[in-house]
Amino acid sequence: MKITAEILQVLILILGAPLVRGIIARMKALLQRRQGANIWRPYAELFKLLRKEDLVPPTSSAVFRLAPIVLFGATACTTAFVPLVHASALLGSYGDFFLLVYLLALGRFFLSLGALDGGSAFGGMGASREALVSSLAEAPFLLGLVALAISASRTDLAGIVAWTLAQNIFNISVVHILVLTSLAMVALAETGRMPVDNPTTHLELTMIHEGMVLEYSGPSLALIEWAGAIKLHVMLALLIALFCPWGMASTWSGLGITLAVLLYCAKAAALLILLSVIESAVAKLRMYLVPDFLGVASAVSALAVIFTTWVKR
Amino acid sequence: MGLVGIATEKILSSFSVFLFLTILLLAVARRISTCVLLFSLQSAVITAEVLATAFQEKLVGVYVVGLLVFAIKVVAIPRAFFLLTKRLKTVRDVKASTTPTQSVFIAVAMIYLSYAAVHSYGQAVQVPDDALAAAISLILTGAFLMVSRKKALMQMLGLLVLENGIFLAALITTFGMPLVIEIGIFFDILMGLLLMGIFTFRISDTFEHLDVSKLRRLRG
Amino acid sequence: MSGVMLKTAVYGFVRLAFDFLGGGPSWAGYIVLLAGAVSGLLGVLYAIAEHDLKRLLAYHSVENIGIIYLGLGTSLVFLAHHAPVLAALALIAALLHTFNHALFKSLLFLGAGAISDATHTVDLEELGGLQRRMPITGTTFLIGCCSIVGLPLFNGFISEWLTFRSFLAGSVLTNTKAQIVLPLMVGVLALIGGLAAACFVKVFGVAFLGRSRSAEAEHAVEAPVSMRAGMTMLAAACLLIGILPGILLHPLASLGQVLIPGGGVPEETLIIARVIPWIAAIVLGTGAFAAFLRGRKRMTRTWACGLPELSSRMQYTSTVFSKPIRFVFAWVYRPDRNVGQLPADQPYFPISISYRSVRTTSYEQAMYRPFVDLIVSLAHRLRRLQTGNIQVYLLYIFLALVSLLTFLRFQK
Repeated sequence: MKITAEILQVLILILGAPLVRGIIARMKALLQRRQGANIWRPYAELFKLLRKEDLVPPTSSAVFRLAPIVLFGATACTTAFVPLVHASALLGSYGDFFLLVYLLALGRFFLSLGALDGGSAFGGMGASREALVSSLAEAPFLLGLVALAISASRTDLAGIVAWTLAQNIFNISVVHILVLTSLAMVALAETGRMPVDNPTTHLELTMIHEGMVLEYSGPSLALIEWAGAIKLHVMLALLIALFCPWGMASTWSGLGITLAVLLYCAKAAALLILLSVIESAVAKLRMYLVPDFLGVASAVSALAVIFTTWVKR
Repeated sequence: MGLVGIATEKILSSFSVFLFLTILLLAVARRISTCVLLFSLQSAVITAEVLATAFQEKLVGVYVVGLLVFAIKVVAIPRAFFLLTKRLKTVRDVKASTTPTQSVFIAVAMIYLSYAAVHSYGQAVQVPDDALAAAISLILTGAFLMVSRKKALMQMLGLLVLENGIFLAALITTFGMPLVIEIGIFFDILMGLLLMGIFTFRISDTFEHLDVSKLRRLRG
Repeated sequence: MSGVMLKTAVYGFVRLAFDFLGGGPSWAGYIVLLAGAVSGLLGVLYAIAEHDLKRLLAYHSVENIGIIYLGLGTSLVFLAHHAPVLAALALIAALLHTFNHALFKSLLFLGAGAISDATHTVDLEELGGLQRRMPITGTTFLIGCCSIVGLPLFNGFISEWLTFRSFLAGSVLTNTKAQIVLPLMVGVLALIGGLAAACFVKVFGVAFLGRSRSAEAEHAVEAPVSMRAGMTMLAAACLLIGILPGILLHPLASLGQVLIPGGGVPEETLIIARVIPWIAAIVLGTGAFAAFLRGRKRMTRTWACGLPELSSRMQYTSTVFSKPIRFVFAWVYRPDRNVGQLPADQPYFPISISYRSVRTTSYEQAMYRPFVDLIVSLAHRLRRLQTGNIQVYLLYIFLALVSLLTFLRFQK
């Protein structure tokens, strides 16, 4: 039963990812007083792209077609670390949040290489900006997770979630509020949402992530889009699991797990509404203000790490 | 105990978190209106703390102090600031001399410093570490805002944040000063603000800008 | 050279600090930590700004030695606080990184040699599109790049993971300074790793991918079999240790037990040896599934915004790629910027504009130059003792004798 529940977590994260994109798009449309597309549209788009053929520039090498595969494989593997319905994960082990961050980095590395392989200027521009954002976003991400690990005295994500489940929901913890602020900023930067990057822009000079995928088409583009959606879903699930995990099943019964899945859907929907409101309300930052944005996140995470020594006293 | 009692306990043990958040956000804010909003939020948190202390210590005078703080610092002074900014028609930017990253790291260092300073003292007197450290951080933040922001309105705001910190420190260590002293302090602040408001108008009228770094002809 | 010669210094340090001295006071550990952090950050920042491949790789050696010393410093701090198991963990991390660095740095330098052999240049601005012409060199170079960045499934990740784990373990100590400094080093190492990833995207992307930027790169040929054999062996070793790290971790764990008496085998080494093969299996399996989903491919021209053809000049160059990061860290580089314009009195109708930006090695001016100047001035002052007059030298000997005798007389 344990393995089944953990595999269920992985499947929800992977298969539910396009739905997350669909819900955000629908929310933003409603906020803009449009009707918006169906929330299941990203699935239709994935099927459409998978049936098409791959268009490949003649000057590109094998890396161009390899990049989406590595990106998808690495991002799909990160879903095995995040607890969703129970405080355990399929591949959870000590110190696994470093693996999570670095698997995401592996995917991003190959995507940047694929962008440069297209041979156009836009790929290089996207890859260069993505390099800036990602190199500065790793430090606050890891520092925030380290601060949480120190307060929980556990080093695996499932263990941190289990510790949080045992806490009283009304006890406000300084470390958690600071880490929540920092991880929220990092999540926006890592997944390429506003205010760091506009995912719906069509102006190439304002693109960061979209600029890297301009040359891709067909199944390769489907894999990249799906991997991007999975990354967004993993970051959302991580935020929910680390800061609001109450409701997760504590036993392996079918009823408990079903309730936990429903509760997770409710929490995810609330977080998605919040994300859509933020996306519709803030303007995109100028690119050279993004290092300031991430610098603030780094300082807040560093403060959280420093606070763990005072709180534990 | 009841719900009010539980809420009071929670407020007293955790209000310093929100003060730290306002400190960090003040360090990175880029518009005067954002800073004023953060100041009024800060004062609201302090009001909650004052009222919680009054409930716990059962002192009526402290309730009056709490209401005064709310009326003056959460409602009146921010409204006065908004009116000033509208009348002055100056640019809304804060004109900081440090980048947001540098400011926030300085804020982190100040919070660390206040904790380190309070640690040895807090065990001699029976005060919670967090609250006193928050008060000292507010004082340091007020001073930092006055030094690093070049708009005259920000100097006023820095002074107000500093006074917030002093007020909080006094409240924590003495559990509510006598009412007369509190009212005296408030009048002090009001007079000071009135004077600063008049001067700001005069500066803006004479020089057409409010950038204090350009007002350097006061040398002899 | 980079693979082996730099490691002799590390070997000497480990022998001295752990074998002879048996660890030291904790402030010594913090100094080593600080030195490692500064070398790591400065090394990678200067590497990003380079476009000469060999200089870039040399700066990366600086960065990796910095990472090794981060591990060694952590180990010394743990020893000073009497935590031998954690000290063994940090030491194994540093030693594993030393070995990994020897592997992937040699691989990268061999690749640079093959590039230089084929195109007669190591300037990144002149390369491009080499992957199609030199596939084996490109693939092994890619494996080297992934290893040095510390991506999972390659050997660099194992040692970086162990180093991160030892930083995290710093929170179990009771000393407040260690509790604060060691976890904050996680942020430093993460920043170094992120910047290294940015740099190697630039290196591999500009050199091997895209279109050729010069005629030599256009006509490059694959490296001879001897070169290819060496690179393939090293690349295979990197992959092997990345997927099955237990091969190296068990001997290193026993080595750690020899150097740090009292430390058992840290269990993290066993855990990572168990987990990584599963991760590799899942990533490769998912990748295979994704590859199966793909369809046929068709060659078509990249859209050039209406122009007839894309030229190689339209691609991003190495200098431009690193510009955002160089802009953010300009306070480290302090470049000398010079924009010249002809004619100078007609700013709106220029005939030619020249732009010159020279990177200064600011760390050299800030850290080494004052030190060197001090020693040189001291030497100048001491030079006055050498007058060349033989009677003055005889006077020195006489004065030495007299002072010795007075010292003996008053010593009683």
